[in-house]
Amino acid sequence: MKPSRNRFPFRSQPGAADEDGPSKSPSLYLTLDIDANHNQRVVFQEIRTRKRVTRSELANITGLTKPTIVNVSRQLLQAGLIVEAERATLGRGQPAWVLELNPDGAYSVGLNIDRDHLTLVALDLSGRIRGRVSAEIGFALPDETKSFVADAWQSLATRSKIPLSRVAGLGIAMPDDLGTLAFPGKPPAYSAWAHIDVAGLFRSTYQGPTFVENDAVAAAIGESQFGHGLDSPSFVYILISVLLGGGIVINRNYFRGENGRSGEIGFMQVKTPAGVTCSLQDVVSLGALSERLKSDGIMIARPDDLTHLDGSGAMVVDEWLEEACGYLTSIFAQIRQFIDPDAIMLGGRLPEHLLDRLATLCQQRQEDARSAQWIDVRRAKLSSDAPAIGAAILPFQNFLLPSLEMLERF
Amino acid sequence: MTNSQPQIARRLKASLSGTNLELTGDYNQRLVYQAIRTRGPITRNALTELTGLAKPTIAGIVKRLVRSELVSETGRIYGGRGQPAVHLEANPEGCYSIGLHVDEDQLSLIVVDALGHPVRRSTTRLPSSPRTRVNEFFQHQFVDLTMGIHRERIIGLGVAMSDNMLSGRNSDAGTATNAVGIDLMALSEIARDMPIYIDSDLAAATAGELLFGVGATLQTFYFILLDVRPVGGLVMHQALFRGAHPSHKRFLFPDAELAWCRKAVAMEREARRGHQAPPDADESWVEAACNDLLPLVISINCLLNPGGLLLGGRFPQEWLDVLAERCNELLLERAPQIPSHAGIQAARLGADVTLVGAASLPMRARLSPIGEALLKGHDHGN
Repeated sequence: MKPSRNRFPFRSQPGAADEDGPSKSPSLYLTLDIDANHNQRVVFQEIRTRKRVTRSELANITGLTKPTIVNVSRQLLQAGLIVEAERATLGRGQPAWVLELNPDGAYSVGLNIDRDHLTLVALDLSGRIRGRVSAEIGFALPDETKSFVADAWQSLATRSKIPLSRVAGLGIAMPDDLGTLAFPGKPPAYSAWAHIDVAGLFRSTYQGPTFVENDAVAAAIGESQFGHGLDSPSFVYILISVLLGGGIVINRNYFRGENGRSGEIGFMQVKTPAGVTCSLQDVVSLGALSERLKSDGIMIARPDDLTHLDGSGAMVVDEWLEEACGYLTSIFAQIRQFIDPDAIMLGGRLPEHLLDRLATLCQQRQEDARSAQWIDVRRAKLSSDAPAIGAAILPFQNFLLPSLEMLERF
Repeated sequence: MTNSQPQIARRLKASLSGTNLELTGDYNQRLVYQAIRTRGPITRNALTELTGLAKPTIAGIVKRLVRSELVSETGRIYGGRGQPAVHLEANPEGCYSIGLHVDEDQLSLIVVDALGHPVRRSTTRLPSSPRTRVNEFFQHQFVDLTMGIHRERIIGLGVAMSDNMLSGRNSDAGTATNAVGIDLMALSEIARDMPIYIDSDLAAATAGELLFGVGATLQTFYFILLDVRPVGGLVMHQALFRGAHPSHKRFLFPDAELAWCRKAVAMEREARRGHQAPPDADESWVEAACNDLLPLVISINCLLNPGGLLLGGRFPQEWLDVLAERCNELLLERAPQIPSHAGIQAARLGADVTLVGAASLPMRARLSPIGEALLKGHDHGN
């Protein structure tokens, strides 16, 4: 599903042939060879995360030689991904040039398909959301999704004023087994998702590089590059949506496991107070919460409804939060024993204030237990639209950001 | 101030630093040596294909490796036309490494050859008397075990000790001693001019299994080091992930010491002392062990989807095998719904995993194509 060639999707300036690359003829695209590619990613990453940085600082940080830095930064400048800004002179001598990220250098679009909604966001290179379209559609079929994307794409250009020619790619985030997993209320037609080529579905709207990823994985990758992941190189992301998913980031790299099924935290087993063993997502998920509200006669049409509940509804939510915290802390203790990440991040469609309360409850419970198994639990920076934002980051990840996975592809 | 150093190192690693030609050259040499060691006998052409390096690069590296006797040229393949191709093989006597395992109540020393085969070994109970006796033991045994081995062929001393002892060392940096009484300064006196690598028992065990065991064939695995108090860790990209608090020992069963663990460790030790085979594991032992391990195994599968789950440590080898087999059966039976089921198996190095692992630390640091070899400031052992 991934494009086979790793081409730089941005035209270099006309006539400015890549002098450092091995290719003799000036090509339409700046094609990057293996080593240069990795070094470019490393340099770009430093410029992006440090905001303003000089070439000599870059040489110190990355361990690359000064000439390499000069070449690489020229390539990045030509591609329009960074800009040069003169630094105010402090000491003697000529002031050094500072390099900065150019937020408008590239855009990326992310789509989240889930059982209860469709969301499309457009990000600029700094990770800011520049356009967002969302619809609460239950069990949207492929055709409905296709027309949703076509309409949303139009509105990105007209309402959000995004130059579509600079869109680096489309990322799509959706749960595993969307079409096959049994789920209350799932119409038979929904199993169409099991057989469809999702990456090819939106070709009539967008022909560029397209990436498909599990929703929790996308959220975790997004968090690692544009969220709290910059302070916590290793973390476990817990996505509380209709069901519960997870993603694992180790030393800033997504950890997929042997067959890409790592982070299936929703399937981890917990014991209910009644002594029954069940999966975590049976008791901790948006689905579990709305089922419980339903049995009290309170219907939830969208996650937002959870913020406007009356007294009795709020009480049900409070009870559920307490219980969920109990289940989660037992799972967190295991995660701590197994791999000991820097932090656990909570995100997903559960409204932000509830995620915040859940994180605080978990921290408190750990403190009360005075356990040596303490682990940092917090709401993810990218929490509510996390899968869509994460999906939008996939093209950046594939073309611009350093990762072991990219190194190993060659 | 002292705290900032590891953080910088960690950040460097986490952000993937750039690299330069000189370091890449050393890395390529490690890569070729590893390919010969694991795939040999192998021709130069096959090496070119396997590593993706250019032919002249391979030729140059192989020449250096043969000259240093780490690699030997063996049987030619006849049959085709033209000059037959020369096959390359790792020379078992090309280098040796020494491993020291400092356990809570015993000391073990081992010499392994380049292929990880134990050459000589000795074990002693740890005396409760002053540490001079420990040093004496080490001195005697070290001289005994390394007799007849060319000093230049010994590439280093690896020391494995439990994390608790390691952190003890850190807090007492001035004298470099620890609770057990191993005087690390004294070690370097005895093992003169020899690089010393110290790591936790889990890090040593995983390094050993990666180099010489089942780990070499797995992309990722979760390793459970069975002991009186079992610990575990995820191995990925050819290295143990140490977690956010590397100096804290994380027990897999934090609440209690388990009777089945104690029993197995005692059995293994008794059998080794008496030079006899340990008795078979009885059914109640297997059951108790599985009851405790299985929930862990299910959680690890859900969380990490590892390519394999290895059991190693100071249990009788047969007990490890029985335990692995039973866990495999029960996992499929009790948790068929989870998305992945990694095969559970005993580590190939079994009960010796930590000791041979200790000996593999110098080999890993100096001969393996590990990511650190591409970073500035890493020990490139010339």
